[in-house]
Amino acid sequence: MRICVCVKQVLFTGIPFEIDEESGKGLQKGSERIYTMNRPDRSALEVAIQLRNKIGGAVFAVTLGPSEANEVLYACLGRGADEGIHIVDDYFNATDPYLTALCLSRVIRNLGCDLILCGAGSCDSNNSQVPSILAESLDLPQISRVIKLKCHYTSMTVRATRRLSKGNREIVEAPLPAVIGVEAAIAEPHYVSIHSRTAASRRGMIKTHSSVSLLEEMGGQSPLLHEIRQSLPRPCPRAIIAPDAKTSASQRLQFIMTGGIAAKEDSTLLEGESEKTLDEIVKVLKREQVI
Amino acid sequence: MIPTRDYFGPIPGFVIFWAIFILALALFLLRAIKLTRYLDLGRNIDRTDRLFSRILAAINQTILQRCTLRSCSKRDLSGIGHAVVFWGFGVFLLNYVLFIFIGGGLGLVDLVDDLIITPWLRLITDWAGILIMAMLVWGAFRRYVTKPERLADGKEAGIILLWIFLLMVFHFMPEELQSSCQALWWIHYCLIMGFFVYLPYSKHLHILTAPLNLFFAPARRVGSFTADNIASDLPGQDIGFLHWKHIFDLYCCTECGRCQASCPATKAGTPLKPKDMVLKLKKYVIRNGGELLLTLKSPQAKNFRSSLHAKLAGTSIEEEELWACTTCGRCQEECPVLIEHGDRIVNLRRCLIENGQASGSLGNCLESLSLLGNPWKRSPGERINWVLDRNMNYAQENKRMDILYWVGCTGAYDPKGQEIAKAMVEVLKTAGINFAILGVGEKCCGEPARRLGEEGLFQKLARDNITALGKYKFDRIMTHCPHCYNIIKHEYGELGGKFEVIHHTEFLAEHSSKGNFIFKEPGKRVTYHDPCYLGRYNGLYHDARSLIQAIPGVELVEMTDNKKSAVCCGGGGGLFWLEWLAGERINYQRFAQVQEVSPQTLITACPFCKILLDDACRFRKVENQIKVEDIVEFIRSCSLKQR
Repeated sequence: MRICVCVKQVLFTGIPFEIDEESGKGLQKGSERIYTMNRPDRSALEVAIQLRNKIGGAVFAVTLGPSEANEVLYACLGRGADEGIHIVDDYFNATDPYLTALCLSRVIRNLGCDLILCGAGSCDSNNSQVPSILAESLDLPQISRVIKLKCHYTSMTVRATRRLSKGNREIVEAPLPAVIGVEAAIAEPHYVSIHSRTAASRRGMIKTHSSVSLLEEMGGQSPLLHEIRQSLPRPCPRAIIAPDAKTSASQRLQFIMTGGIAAKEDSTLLEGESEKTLDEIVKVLKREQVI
Repeated sequence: MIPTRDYFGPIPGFVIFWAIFILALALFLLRAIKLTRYLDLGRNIDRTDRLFSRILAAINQTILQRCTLRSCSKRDLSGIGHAVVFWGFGVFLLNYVLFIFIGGGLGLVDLVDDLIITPWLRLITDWAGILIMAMLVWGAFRRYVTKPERLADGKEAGIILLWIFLLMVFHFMPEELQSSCQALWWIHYCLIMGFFVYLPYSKHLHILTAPLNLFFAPARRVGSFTADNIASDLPGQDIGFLHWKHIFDLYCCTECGRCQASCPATKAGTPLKPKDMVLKLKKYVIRNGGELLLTLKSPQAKNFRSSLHAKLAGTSIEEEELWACTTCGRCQEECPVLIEHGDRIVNLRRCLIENGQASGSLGNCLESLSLLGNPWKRSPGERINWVLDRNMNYAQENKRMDILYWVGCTGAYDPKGQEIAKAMVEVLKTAGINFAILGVGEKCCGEPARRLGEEGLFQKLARDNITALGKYKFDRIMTHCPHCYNIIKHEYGELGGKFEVIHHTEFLAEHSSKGNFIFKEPGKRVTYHDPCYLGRYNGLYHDARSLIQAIPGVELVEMTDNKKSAVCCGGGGGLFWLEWLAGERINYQRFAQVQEVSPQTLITACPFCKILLDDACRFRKVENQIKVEDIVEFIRSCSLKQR
């Protein structure tokens, strides 16, 4: 089974950020740039590797990004991917998801894949558009927000569990080949050792393309989106209930520090004989959808 | 009486004698050669340097029986029994060679009888025989009646005890009985040769392999870890992880159980049991060795050793066993034949890591280390957040310092660790020492990476640190963390970083001995917990104690298990960063020993020990009775303004 995984190199968002005055972009504080693979993409890679190990076949890792982005391909190869494809882009710097998807589709169309996995969205630009536009340009079915995947290679179908809101789930089925956008929760990513990444970089199994030349092949597209500015979250003040003035100073302090004890809505104290309260209890449980 | 001169039918006794000998030798060699070939399953490693000290060590440990005598204690005197049997057996060996082989086999009875030493030898042998029998009876009594914890039921032990006892019985058989029944002499001879054949099929092989193991032992009893050689990257070269010495270790295990009895992970109920791990691996290697060797030699053997070792890691033993080891070193401290448990476990961990089997808390720790240069998932820029002082000395390229204070990750990022760093800086500043810290240029020393099996990450971090340190001029590196101390001192050298490193207890003891502290009398009862990486790994027990005892009015009490047998806090081997999945936590077990001596303050010298034992203190709800402090914090709280 030939599986293609689209991965993206992003700035690691787990550390403090600040806005760069010149470019208006959000960058990590400090001079060192720390990059990592987008978390949902890591899960997608994990799904692909495990699928390949079970069914057999090949895993292709594709990325679009500047020259440093080959680091994520080394990580993919170190994890067990068979081949890496790097679309080197210094032109639109991956700010336009439409162009990203077009370039990816141009390359993926020649791979002959049965399954294309992408992370549902990236943690830096958070557009979540690439899987959809990719599917459209490849004329393939797409399933988004997938948290569980089952491939039936013999019947060439895929059954996916999708995340709806509030814990609700939906199970859909689609024929392969298809584009699947997976969420981070679909798999626990495994750590790729430095030795494997170094060995991968020495094995030289990465094909490169240029985003500019790919776009020219398609008739020369230019970005339709221009990022103007990013901003960081402003501090949110938290409302503090004023404590009862009749209580002592120490009690008031205690109240403020523990956030007080708020009365719960819908709380009912049932009193009376067990027969009557039993019916009430069952009613409450049914209302809360426990039974 | 020369039984070999008789004829058995047409065959002279000599022929039968030497035929039995050759048969026994053949059977022995058959097995011994097979076992030697299996060593090829491990990669190559050089253990022939320092030849003189190796020979000396082997002789010292074997002939002088330091191997077992060193572990004699009031609770366990079995080392004496072993030493007596060993020396006695040495005498018997001489006896056998002289009387049975030269006298009997070669027929030179008259020559042997006329030797000056013969009557003395006979006398000594008789006494040796009596002593051996007494020791065997004592041994059997221990094993089958009193049943100490560390001795598991083993039928091999019973067979060996019985066999040697029989040999003694045969030795004491009177001449008349032997003359009247020639068969007895032959039975005695067969018992001796049979024992020789039984050696490579039993744990008694240790009498041949243990002295060799002592010869091939690493430089330090506890704390020697081997680098892998994957970085010497010829593409497609099959390197593997375990080296031949690890396979040889398996042949040396005497099943004494000392490792298992002292292992904190075993006591805590984890799947890790050091002796069982050795025996399981031994069984796997001996059972499958032949088949594995064939695959190794075949042309499809690309990356075979790596996958073999991964198989060893996942099949013959459970993965959980490997992840439960804190590398505290007690097993190696106790092992009479110097089996390298720690190095083997780390090498097997490497298999799992390289195979991509690290996820969960382990994956998170390594991910944080490789991405951010520290295991705390904090940014490198925040490494100096703990520094309150605007006038902190940061290392400058042209300024020479006496001491480079290596703060370490825990000292920089964790609040309890930061308390240690702040106290240390206060002491250094008040003492007017010319010191500096690296600041944001410092990365994790790499120790958790190495112990967890991520060798590539360790080497990357170490090289970065060596480059960063190379920019500055300083006399010594001082650190408060024994893990940083140990790895920079002993394991940075082979990567090109040769530095003089001291631990802060050494520095403080040095400083105090010059009379630089003025102490008040705090009137406290304290106890000191020996960190594994300071004590067993580096032999530093004295400095902290002398420091504490220099403070007037402080009563220092010792816990049950201290110094060489101190119990681990559970934080080593990278376990500080892993989720605990088994029974009672190791730190809670150690804390129970702390509570036994009821101190007011528990003094530690390692940030992991401090954090874990403080956690145990809070868990037991005695944080108002026992304060857990690092030694520098204690010193600072007990001293008035310094000179």
